[in-house]
This record gives sequence, structure tokens and C-alpha cells, in this order.
Amino acid sequence: MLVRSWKKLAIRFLKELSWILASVVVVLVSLAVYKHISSPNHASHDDFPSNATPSLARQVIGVGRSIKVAAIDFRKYPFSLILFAQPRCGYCIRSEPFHRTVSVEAAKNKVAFIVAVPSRKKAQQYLNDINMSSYITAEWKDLSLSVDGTPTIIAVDSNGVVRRIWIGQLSPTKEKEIINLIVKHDALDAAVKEKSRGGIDNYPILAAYGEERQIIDVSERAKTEPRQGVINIPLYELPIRASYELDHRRLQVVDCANVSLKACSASTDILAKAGYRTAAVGAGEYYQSCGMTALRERTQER
Amino acid sequence: MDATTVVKPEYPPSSFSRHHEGPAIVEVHVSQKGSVVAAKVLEAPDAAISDAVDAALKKWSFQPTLLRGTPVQVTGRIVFYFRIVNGKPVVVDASLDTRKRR
Repeated sequence: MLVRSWKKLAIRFLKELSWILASVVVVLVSLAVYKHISSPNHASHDDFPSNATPSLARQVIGVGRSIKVAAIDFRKYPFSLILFAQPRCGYCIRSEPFHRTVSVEAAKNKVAFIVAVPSRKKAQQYLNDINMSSYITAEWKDLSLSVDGTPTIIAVDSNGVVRRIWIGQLSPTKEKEIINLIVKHDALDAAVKEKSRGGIDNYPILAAYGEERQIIDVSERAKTEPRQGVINIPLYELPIRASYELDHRRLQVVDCANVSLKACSASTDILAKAGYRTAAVGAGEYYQSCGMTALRERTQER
Repeated sequence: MDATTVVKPEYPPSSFSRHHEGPAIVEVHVSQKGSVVAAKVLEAPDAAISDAVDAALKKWSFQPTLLRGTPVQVTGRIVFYFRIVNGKPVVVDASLDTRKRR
């Protein structure tokens, strides 16, 4: 009798133990999946050397700046395109058909097309997959250039001067613009002169908020021209002026196009601390990219 | 920067009659002794308000700022709001308000 009840107890214990173990496994797997999905570029840090991560010094590759790249002599081409990509960046993968088209058109029109990847060895599969017809490969570290996110395409003229920068997965209009630039070289100047709206109203993701948002330019006054619908409150004044000038009911979107990541982050911190729902958006030509300054929103319970 | 003497700028009648309102931001350079060495208006609704703010700020004084026990020169920004509330001119020292809230 006693042995039977002991056996029953042991079976029950084992059953419960197996349930607990199963639950722990499910939780661990969920956490791993969540961590993978929530990572901005879905890439594990072991895949690429940490020093190859593109930094956020957009100023390094600014339009009008002169750059030097060991892998290419810019003087040999009417202009050159440098594509910064990484194999597991979703926006790079989605842009592959366009990047293939760029490679075909660049080859036809004698435009240099450089594909810069974090590590050539590890990115070989990616380069094979995208099956481009003509390109020069380079590693990020070899270029000594920094970009905001991937994919990024930079147009450099024959003097080595950066003429255009496109960041993220591009809209069909922007893609067409690049193809037109490759086909009609003279359009490079026209495109530079063309005044884009520059503001972050271009971001489709912001449209979801409709009118319930306020865009704040936190750069110093002298650096930027006032834009319609954008409040300029320099970062230094934000702690004082926010409560007087910003509405708690609206999403406060910090336009970080003209400030460093540090200043951008400090701005959202100040606003979040003051109880605002805040978002930060990177450079004016951002569309959607794998990078640290892609739109991030933080909400603080009030 | 803690102010020991505060002189609030007056709302210039010309600005009030024209309904000019908004923030006025001044950058002040304070000496080691706490006196205002220079004041530069960075933003103001109009020139009259800018002059009023500039004149008032020059009368301000501050407690010396100490860095590891040594008085140092400091620069800061002070924000005023020139507002018309119920038809009356109101000048708010936002920096002071922020200090109080802390």
C-alpha cells in the first residue's frame, strides 16, 4: 500500500517537473526569438568585427566633403557610387533587386560601383546571392568612412567630393533618381541643386501619427534655417522651454538631422523625463534603414 | 548659476500694442565674482523686447560659481516669455520657474 502511494507520488512529481522544465524551455526560446527579432539588423554581434560597425558620424561623409578611398581612383570615372550594406540587414536584403539594377546600369554607363561590406570573407555568400554583374568590393574598415545605417549609397564625383547620400531602403522615386543619375551623368549637379523638402515629413512612418505630433529641431540657431511646422529649441534650452512650448498630448519627434547621436539621445531623454512621448528621427534623407538612429519611440507613463 | 539680484524686463509698450509675444533667450557671461560681463540676446519676438531684456540682464548678479572650490567664469542661458494674458502684458522668467520646480 505504502509502496503504491510512493510510486504515485513519484510519478506525479516527475510529471510536474517535466511541466516546469517544458515551461522554462518555452520561456528561454521565446526570449531568444524576441532578442533576435528586436535586434535592429537581426545580425548577431559575433558575425562581424565590432570595430566594423558603421559609426554615426554622418559629418564624416557629408555632402560637399572630399573623401579618399584606397580601393578606387575616383578620377577614372565620371562619378562613383559606394554602397554600404550588410548581409543580414533586412532593408539591404529587400533592396537587393535595386542594387542589382544599379550594378547593371553602372557597368553599362561606366560608373564605378563599390560594395562595402563589414567583412568580405563573411559577406561572400551575400555578395554571391545578390549576383551583381559588376562591382568592386571593399570592407568598411578599408574605406575609413562612417555611415548612419545600412544600406547607404554615396555618390562621389571625379574629384572625390561626396555629392549625394541616400540612406535606407529607398522609395521607388528615389531609386529612379539614382538610376537617372547613372544614365545621365549631368543630372548629378541638377540633383544636388534640387531642394528636397529636407524635413522629416518625408518619413512614411510618421504619417501614422497624423497631426498629433510636433517636430523639434534641437540644433543651434545659426546652423539651420527655420522650417515650416518645425520648432527650433536648441538642446541647451530644452529643459526650460519644453514645458512652456510643447504639448503633452502630441508625440514629440526630435529631428536629429543636424545633431550628433549624443545630442539626439539627450534630447529624447529630457523629453521623456518631462513626461512626453518622444521619437527621434535621423538624417533628412532617411527612409528606413538598419542603424542606430532609425526611428525609435519611447513612451513614459505619466 | 544662482541669481542674487533679479531685474525682470519690462514688456515694451510698442511690442504690447503690436501684440508681439513669444520667448526671449539671452546668453549671459558671468564673471568669477558673479557679475554679468556680457549678455547677448539670441532670440526675441522683436528688437524692443530684445533691448528690454538686454538692459534688465545687465543689472543681474549671481552667486560666484565654484569649481573645486575656485570661482570660475560661467555662461548660461535665461529664458523669458513675453505673453499677453487676458489683454495684459505678462513677462515670465522661465529659468526662475525651472529653478523653483527643482
